[in-house]
Amino acid sequence: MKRREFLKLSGTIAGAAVTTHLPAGWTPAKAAAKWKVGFSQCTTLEPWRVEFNKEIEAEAKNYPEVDLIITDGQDSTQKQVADVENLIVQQVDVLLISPKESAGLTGVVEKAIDAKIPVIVLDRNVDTKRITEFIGGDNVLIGRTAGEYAVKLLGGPGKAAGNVVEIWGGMGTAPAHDRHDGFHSVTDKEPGIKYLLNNQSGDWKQDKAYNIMTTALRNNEKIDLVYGHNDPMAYGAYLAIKDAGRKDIKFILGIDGLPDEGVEWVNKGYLTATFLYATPGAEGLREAVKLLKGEKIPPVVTLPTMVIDKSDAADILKKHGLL
Amino acid sequence: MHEAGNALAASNARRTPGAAKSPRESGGGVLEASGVSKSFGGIAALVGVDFDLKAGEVHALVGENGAGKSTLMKILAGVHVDYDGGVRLMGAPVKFAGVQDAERAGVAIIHQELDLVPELTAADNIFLGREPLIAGMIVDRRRIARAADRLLRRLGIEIDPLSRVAELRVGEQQLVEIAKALSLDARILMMDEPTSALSSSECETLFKVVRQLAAAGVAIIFTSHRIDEVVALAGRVTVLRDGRRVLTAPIQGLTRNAIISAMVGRNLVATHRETVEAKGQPVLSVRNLTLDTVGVRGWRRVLEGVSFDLRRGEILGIGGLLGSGRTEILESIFGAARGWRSGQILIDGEPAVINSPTDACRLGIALVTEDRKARGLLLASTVRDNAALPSVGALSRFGIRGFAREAALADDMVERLSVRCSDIDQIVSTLSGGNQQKVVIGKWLATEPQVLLLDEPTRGIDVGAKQEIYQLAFALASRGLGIIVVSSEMPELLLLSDRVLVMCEGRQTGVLTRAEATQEEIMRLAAPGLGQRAAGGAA
Amino acid sequence: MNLIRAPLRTLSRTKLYWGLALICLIGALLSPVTSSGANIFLSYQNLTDVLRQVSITGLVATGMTIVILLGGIDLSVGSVMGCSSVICAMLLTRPGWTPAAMMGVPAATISIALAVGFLARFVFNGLARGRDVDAGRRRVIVLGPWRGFRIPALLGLAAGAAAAAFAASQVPTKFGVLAVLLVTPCFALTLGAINGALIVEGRLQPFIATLAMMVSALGIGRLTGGQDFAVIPVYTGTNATEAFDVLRSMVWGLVPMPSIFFLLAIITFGAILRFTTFGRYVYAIGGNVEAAKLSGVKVKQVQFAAYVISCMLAGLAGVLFVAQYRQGKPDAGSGLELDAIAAVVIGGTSLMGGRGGLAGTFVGVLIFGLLSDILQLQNIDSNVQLLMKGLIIVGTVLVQEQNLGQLLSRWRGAPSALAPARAGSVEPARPLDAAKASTVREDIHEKT
Repeated sequence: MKRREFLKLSGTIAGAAVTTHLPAGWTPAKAAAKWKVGFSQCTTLEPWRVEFNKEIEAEAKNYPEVDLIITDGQDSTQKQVADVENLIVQQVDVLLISPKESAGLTGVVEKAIDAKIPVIVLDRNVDTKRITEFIGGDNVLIGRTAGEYAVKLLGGPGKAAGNVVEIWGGMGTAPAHDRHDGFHSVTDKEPGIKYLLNNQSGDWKQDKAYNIMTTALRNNEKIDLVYGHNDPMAYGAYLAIKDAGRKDIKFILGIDGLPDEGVEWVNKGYLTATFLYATPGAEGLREAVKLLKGEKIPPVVTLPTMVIDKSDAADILKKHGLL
Repeated sequence: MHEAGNALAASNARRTPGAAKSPRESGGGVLEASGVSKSFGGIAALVGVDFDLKAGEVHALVGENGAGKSTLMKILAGVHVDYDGGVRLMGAPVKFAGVQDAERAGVAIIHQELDLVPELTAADNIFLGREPLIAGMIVDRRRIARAADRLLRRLGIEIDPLSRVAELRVGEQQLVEIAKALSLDARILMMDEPTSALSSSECETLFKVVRQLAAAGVAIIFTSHRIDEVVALAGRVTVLRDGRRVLTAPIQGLTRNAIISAMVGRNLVATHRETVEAKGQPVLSVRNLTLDTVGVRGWRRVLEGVSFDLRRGEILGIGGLLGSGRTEILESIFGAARGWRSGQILIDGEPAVINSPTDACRLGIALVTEDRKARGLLLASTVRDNAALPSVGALSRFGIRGFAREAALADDMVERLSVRCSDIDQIVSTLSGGNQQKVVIGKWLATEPQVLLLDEPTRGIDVGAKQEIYQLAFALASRGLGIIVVSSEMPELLLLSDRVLVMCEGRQTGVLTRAEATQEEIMRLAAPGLGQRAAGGAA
Repeated sequence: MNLIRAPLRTLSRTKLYWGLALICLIGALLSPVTSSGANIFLSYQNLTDVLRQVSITGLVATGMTIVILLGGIDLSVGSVMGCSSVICAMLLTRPGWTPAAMMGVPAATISIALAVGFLARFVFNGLARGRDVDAGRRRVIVLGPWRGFRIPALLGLAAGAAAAAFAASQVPTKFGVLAVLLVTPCFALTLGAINGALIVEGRLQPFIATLAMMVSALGIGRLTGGQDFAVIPVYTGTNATEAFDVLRSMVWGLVPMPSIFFLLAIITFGAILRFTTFGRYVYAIGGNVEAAKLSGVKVKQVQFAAYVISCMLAGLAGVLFVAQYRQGKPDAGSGLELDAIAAVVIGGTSLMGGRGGLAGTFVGVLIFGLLSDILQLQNIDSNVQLLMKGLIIVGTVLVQEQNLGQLLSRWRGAPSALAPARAGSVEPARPLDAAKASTVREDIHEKT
């Protein structure tokens, strides 16, 4: 029956169109909103990003004239591209974006710029200089800070010695490479530091890091320090060490410094220290509002980092009401 | 006039008996084989067979399954290159190195499994591998289409050369294959079981084309299990038995029974059965059965108001043209019909709810489908597994299979039905058609059914096995089973049935007793449109 | 000639086990050694670790084997496992009627009620038939209204009520180990039932139905977790019961607990496939679903059951994941379905259905796990590891099927593509596909 076929087909197409284009962050237009700010997040499957989103939403409450639309790219470059195109169509006044990866999102960012929408890139950068502003932590700096801290733990500059296990984040992402490069820029100068693993990636995930650490423990009898590119992975390594009952690992370092995560773990003594990788959400929204009000904003804002070890942890937790 | 059931009636009508072949029949032998032998893995398929073929003749090759007909044809066509003995083509000794070599020499073979690519058009298939090219690179589609059109037209085949083969009926596909063979300028054409899947009108077209080709000087060899077709079409017949040539003779002067005897090696005449007067309550009653199915063009009424009774010990035959709904009746009784069904089915007088084959099995109904390989057997499984499948549940305790009981069931069946297999662990796909059919029947017999439904039970089965199945049906009926048989072979239907119910386009047009049932009467009732006798049926 | 053939055939049939042995050998040879000279690969620690690591994939692969044997496929197991991990973690760490409890408790109630009800009827059937089978009689078993329906229904309701009471009692205080082991697989089972219903009644293709569930389960997992949480951490002893650690422990110091689950599953379902009518029906349906249906097999019921089993095992895998990695997250199982399918295929089960079994899957899972272990011990780059795993899959399958043999024989220029005749049939056996194709064409009748 041709008619039935046609109805079925059009029904399917309509259904498909709705599911792919229903914006994940569909918020009804607020009556008195003056500005529409669109924020494309790449995924919310990581605690750091959940914190990121919470932060920007909390900040948005401070500006009633701002109508914030958040989309979730669900860890897929294609979905995020579609999200951004959707925001362009909705004619947002400013576009905030935290891309899943640089190359894949550059095209659609340029499309937004061509549509006269200023773009503020958060956390990970894209490959075009035409963006209005980049806000993010400097992962190289963080890596370097971690490296210096590690050298100090292992005996001090010039004398540092020990076996180090490094667990990478997702190998296709800039932050992982930056954190690796920064760390190595300091530690490679120390002849006594030996790296045991060869490019093993935990993909930012706790369970993958656990498995990598388990094997590393089996392979090596003496390990001194574990450097995970983020806190969940460092924690996963900690669990593996605990399960294996090994006592030789003295130091575990992570990066992110979220209060209910990394800081909590440092406080409990699971991790030796973590390094703050601030979520640029609040800052990003503030900069966007400044831009909309007509002020000038700098091309790059680097969020500072800091070492959080046991001595600092308790205070931070108290400040966030978690202790 | 549209003939029912058998195309032979039509073919017979057009030829006066006796004046059969083309004028060039007495020409010289184009193909001769002498002393051809071939073994497969130690088992002899052909032993010292002599064979000759004359130009413009239609030569039938018959024999039971395993007698060596296919092997002989494949040797002559270059499919098998490894054999003993000599083959001469046009008087010169020749040994083909392969099928292409044979094709170049003008010998083409059409296998039973057609060699067409379903997704391509008929024209593309005809010229597959030999496409004319423009500038040596691009396929010249227009030339292909035109040449194919010319070819088909020359043969009098009305098929659109640009239609996809998958959309053609089997008969039309067969004709495309013939066209393909002819495009190779074949002077000798071999066809392996060409009619096994054709409807009667398609058979007619095929016969017409074959006679045309013969008249044009092409020599044709074909094999068939249908003796009546052989008698109608062939000029000469060669009978093979157990790998040896038993008989070669012109078709006149040979009776049907003589051919069968030569094939089987013993005097097997199908025994008629004394019609038992079945008494008592019918074991199966069908009242007002109506079935609608959804097809390509929407809902279609396949059965309308079918009603009949079946008594224990009775064999009821259902006759009719292809598509008249015979199989659908069986499927409806078995709960396997697709579509909307209404009407009543009563078992032993009680109305029965049959919505799936499981329900039917529980009520003691068994169905032997017409396509045993696709729907009747698990081809990759053993005889034992196939035989026990419907009974697995009944032989189990708390869900755990009774392996020993299943094996006993399989052994028992193999013995009772004389299934020829090395042991019950043989894979079913390696059995011959007749033995496969016996496994199917046997698996159902093990469930001790009250009603046995047989759909084309002897299709693709050699003569010896056919007789065995007829005997089996008689034995089962006399033991009290009610049997319904659907068959397109008129002699078989007339032999088996105590009564014949005739269907025409979904409606029941009549029920004939054994006395009343004749070929003509059945065809009259089966033909659509009220009319008198089929013209040309009786010579 | 036959002297060589027979041992070759046995070799071919057991080639999977030889492959396993080969990998163990390679692992032992390539293994790094400890300072005291002990072979790390062969160390008890290492081997039990591998066994533990493959248990999660193995559980899922077990269910997947059954589904694939039927000729279907289940793409949703990864997401169901992730969703189950979220449910499990939430039940363990949060008291009260959380979304997890609100979904889990009713699911457990209904599943237990139905399971017990059907079990009761099954037992009655078996009792009724038992005497007949021994006597060699066949009789259609018709249970009366009491035995056939009412008693099982009552028993089922009672069991369901008990389950509900038990689960509900755990709600105010966080869930304990047994309760989580009960509720989570039941929840997953319900998702499997949805799959089954779509495939069996809705006549959807398994690929599509389970694909839809794959996406939906991920969504359910994320919604359950809530906007604010990407993972639900489980700290046994602090926010969850300490007893939960038992699911991660070594039983009697010998075998890791997850592997016990895995081995139990393999043995149980292996026995079911081999020795029960259900198993027979699974193979029959996979072999030829039409023929099975026309032989009276209850195809729909068997298919439905298979999808339910597959998801239930995925739910169990989710609980084990939480135990091992101390977190529940919706994407815990991402990629798991493909790992499971790879293991099943390496194990020799054909994706067309009807051929294969759980013994093969067991070996396939082990091969996969050992391979990963070897690569990891060799400290090979993560990306290179992925590539090598892909090559291994292709290689094993080539050797598994006759493809390799056919490939080689074609090179050597075998003249005829026909297989040699087997003893017992005079005419040469035609290749299977040709036989099938010819029958299909035989019955292309024009039925108008």
